[in-house]
Amino acid sequence: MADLLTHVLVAYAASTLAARRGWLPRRHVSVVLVGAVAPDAMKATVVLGVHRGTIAGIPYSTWGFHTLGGIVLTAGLGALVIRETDRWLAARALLAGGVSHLLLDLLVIRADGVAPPYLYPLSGWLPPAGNLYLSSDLWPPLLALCLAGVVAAYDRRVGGFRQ
Amino acid sequence: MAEAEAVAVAEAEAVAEAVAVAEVEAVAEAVAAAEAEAIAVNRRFGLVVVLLVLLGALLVGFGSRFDGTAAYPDAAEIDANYADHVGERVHLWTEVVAVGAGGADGANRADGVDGANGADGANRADGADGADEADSTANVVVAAGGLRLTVTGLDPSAVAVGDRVQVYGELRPGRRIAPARTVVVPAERQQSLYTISAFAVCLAAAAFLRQWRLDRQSRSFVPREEN
Repeated sequence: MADLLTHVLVAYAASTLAARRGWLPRRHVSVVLVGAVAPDAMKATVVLGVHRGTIAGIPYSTWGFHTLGGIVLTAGLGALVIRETDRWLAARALLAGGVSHLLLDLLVIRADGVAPPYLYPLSGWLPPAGNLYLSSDLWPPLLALCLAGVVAAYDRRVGGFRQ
Repeated sequence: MAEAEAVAVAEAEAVAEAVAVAEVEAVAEAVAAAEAEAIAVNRRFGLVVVLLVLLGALLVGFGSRFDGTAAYPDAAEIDANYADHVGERVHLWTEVVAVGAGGADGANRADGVDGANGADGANRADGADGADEADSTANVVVAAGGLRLTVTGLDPSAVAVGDRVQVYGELRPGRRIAPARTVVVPAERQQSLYTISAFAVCLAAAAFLRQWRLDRQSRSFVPREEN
C-alpha cells in the first residue's frame, strides 16, 4: 500500500480544491483525510497476526475492510459519530477519502502484477497493478508534499484561507 | 375600592394562569425533545448494529472466497499443507531470516515439521534436494508467519536479514520457491514507512480535531466553525 502520508497529502490537495469549487464545505476536508487513512487501520490485525482465521468455524479475513464494500460500511459507521445535520456529507467525505486510498494503492508495485480485489463485494476482479511505486519509496510522499504545498499556497493567496 | 380590588385579583389570576400554561408548555416541550433525542439515539444505535452485521458478513464473505489476501493460498495454508501446493504459483510478502551459508538449509533439514510430514520426508530423498545441500552459495531463507522458504536464485549479497521480500514464484519440493519476480525492501526503508505512516495518522487526527469537537450532550462530533 502507499505510505499513509502520501494518502493524506493527496486527499488534502484534492479535497481542498473540491472545497474551493463548493463541492464540499471546508469543515469536511479533514473528514476526507480521515477517510483516506481509515482503510489501513486493518493493518493492525496483520501485525497481530489475526487478520485471517475462523470464528466458530467460519473463516474471515480483515482484508475485507480494504475493499469498496469495506470503505462504504466504515464510512457509514464513521458518519454516525458526526452530528446529524452533517452526517450525510460526512459519509460522502469518508467515502471519497477511502476511494482515493484504493486508487493510490492500485499503483503499488506487485511482484505478480496484479492488485487485490478492491471492488469486492461488487466483483472479485483482480485489477492489473499500476506498478509505479513501493509503499517504502520516498518519492511518492515527496511528490505529494509538493502537490499539497502548491494547493495550500494557492488556497491562501486566492480568496483567502478559511478554516 | 372593591372594583379596583376585583380588577387586581383578576389580573393576578390571569398572570398566574399564564404562568401555569407556560410552565405546562415548557414541560411538554422538554418531554418532546427528550423523546426525539431518545428516538434519534435508538436510530443511531440501530444503524450501528446493522452496519456492524453487514461488516461481519463482508469479512466472512471475503475470507471464504479468497484463500489468502487475494487469489493465492496464504502462508499459513501453504505451511499446513505444503505438499498440496508444490508446483503452484504463489505470491508472498516475506521477511529475510537467514542469508548465505548452507547452514540455513541444514537447519531446514533438521526441522521436525518436515520430517513429520510424510510427503516432505519423501522429498528429502529427492535428488534435487541433494544438489541443494551441496550448494552453499545461493541461500536466502525467507519467512512469512510460520512458513519458511528458501528462495533459489536470489543473490544473497542483495539482501540482509530483516529485509522484506515480496516474492512471486513457484513452490518447489523441500520448501523452496523458484521466483519469477522478487521485490526487496531493505529493513530501514520498511521502518521509515511505519514512522512516516504513523506521523500521517497523527496529522489526519489533528486536522480533524482542529475542525471538529466532541459534543457530550449529543454524543457526536460538531464543527468548531460553521463553514
